[in-house]
Amino acid sequence: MSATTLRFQSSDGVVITIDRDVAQRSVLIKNLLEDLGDTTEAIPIPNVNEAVLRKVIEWCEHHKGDPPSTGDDDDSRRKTTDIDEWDQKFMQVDQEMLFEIILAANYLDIKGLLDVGCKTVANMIKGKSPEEIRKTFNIQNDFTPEEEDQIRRENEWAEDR
Amino acid sequence: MSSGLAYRLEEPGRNVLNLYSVPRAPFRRAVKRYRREILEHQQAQRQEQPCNQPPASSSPRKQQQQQQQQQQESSWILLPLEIIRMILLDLDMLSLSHLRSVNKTTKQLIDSLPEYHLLHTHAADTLRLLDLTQCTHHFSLGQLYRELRHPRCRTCGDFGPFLYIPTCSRSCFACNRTHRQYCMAPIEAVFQRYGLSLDNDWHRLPVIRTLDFTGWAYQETMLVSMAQAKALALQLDTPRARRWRARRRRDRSRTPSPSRYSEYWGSPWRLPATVAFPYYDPVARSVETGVYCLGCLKYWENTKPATQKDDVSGVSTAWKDYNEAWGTARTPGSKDIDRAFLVQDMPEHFRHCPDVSRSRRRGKIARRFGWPVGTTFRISAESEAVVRRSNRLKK
Repeated sequence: MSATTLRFQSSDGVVITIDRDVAQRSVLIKNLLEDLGDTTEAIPIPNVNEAVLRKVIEWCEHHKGDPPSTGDDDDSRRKTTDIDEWDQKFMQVDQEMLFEIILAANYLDIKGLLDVGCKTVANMIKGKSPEEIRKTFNIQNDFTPEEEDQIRRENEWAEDR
Repeated sequence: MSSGLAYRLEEPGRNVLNLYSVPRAPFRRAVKRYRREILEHQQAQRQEQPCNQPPASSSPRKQQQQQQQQQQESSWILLPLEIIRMILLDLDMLSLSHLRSVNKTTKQLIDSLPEYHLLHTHAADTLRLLDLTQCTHHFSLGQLYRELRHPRCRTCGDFGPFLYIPTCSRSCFACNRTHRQYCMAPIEAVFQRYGLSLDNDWHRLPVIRTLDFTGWAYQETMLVSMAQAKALALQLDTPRARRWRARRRRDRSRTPSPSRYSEYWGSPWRLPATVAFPYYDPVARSVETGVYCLGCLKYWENTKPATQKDDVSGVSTAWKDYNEAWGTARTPGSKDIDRAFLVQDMPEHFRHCPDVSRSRRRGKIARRFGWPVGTTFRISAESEAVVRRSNRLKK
């Protein structure tokens, strides 16, 4: 049929060779191949640099055997909230890298990776007080004391019964 | 298809866990304490497992740290909106309320999230009950919203007006009362039974805390779902669990233990984990708490023995009898009194209901065991709710 490997060019010009079925975890690539048919040229991926692309490929290779995700988004996705161990380890990167991976997954349309990335960020926010969240993500507090008081009262909506 | 009279409950959660009898001050105290404690607990847990944290500023050099900080300026807030939405849907209501008070941007992000807004406007009482049972932190906004939008009971497919807290799934009254997967039991008993440790494993399951506000001393009962505890025990499959199995086999040879999910220790705590949860119809943009058939109610409403269809018991039917009759073979006649419907399903029910009420009683008050529960209205064969008063005005 067609070649078993594909070549991709990252934004910084590095060419990486990947197995065809690994690359097809990405819906974008899959559709692209359906349209293009066979190609031996390197496919440019303009939004993703080499380091991130390698990370993404690593994830795709590990999850090669997973059943392909179905189109019905919300129902299947929301059932489990925890991340499996390998993914947790995989996601132990600095924030910058994490966001790059999420963006790449979004661009390449790799649903599983995008889910894991979002859950990782969610876990970083979970169980933190507002002060800690500001510190972790380096967010400035731009509320005036009155506004802050107002929101604190709003948040304790349990109170207004 | 045929028409008939129906009613909605004004207080939908009457016969499950509800807030109607909860005084305000202790409620606030309980919720406040819960919010503080869970934050402390999660902080402590985070310190125990630092691997969950991304390696932050590990290098001592100042320059690098500064660089890192500059990089962090491109925080997740700058991600595309649809990704932020996915992240927020993964958060629970407590984290969202914390995030809301971080910054003007985050506040706006959350306030403009339709899922958050809908849950707060239509299911405020459900959220309060989640707080009161101290389960809010177990469920993400996405999970809750999925159930809000899903009309059917996850077990039987009827319309489900309730939310079963431990699994965060929509359910109907009948399933809650009879199905073994909805059994709740005190945490000590269940954990001992399945060889789980109270110190290490309790936070893995949603633990329902029910406060008894009726007495002057507030007693707290901690309940867990038996099915979930069993699944957890199987999943962990620790030596503890194995020991428990061996012991149990030996025990059984001596004394006959009650059957595994015996009604008698499951059912008294079954409904305290269920709360009323309205259904939001995203197409019609309306909220439904459940429509009940008036005919099915009238069977129990008649207190005179002469008019009773139940010839087995000569006594008057009352709440107590009804309670006892539930789930037994003796449940006579209409047992659909607690079965909720969607308006469009009503004509189908009227067609088969032996007690369907078609008399001209719309606009009156439906009574359950003497208590007024809601106003009746007619549902026509085309499944349109007809309210008499508005009709009359038109004429």
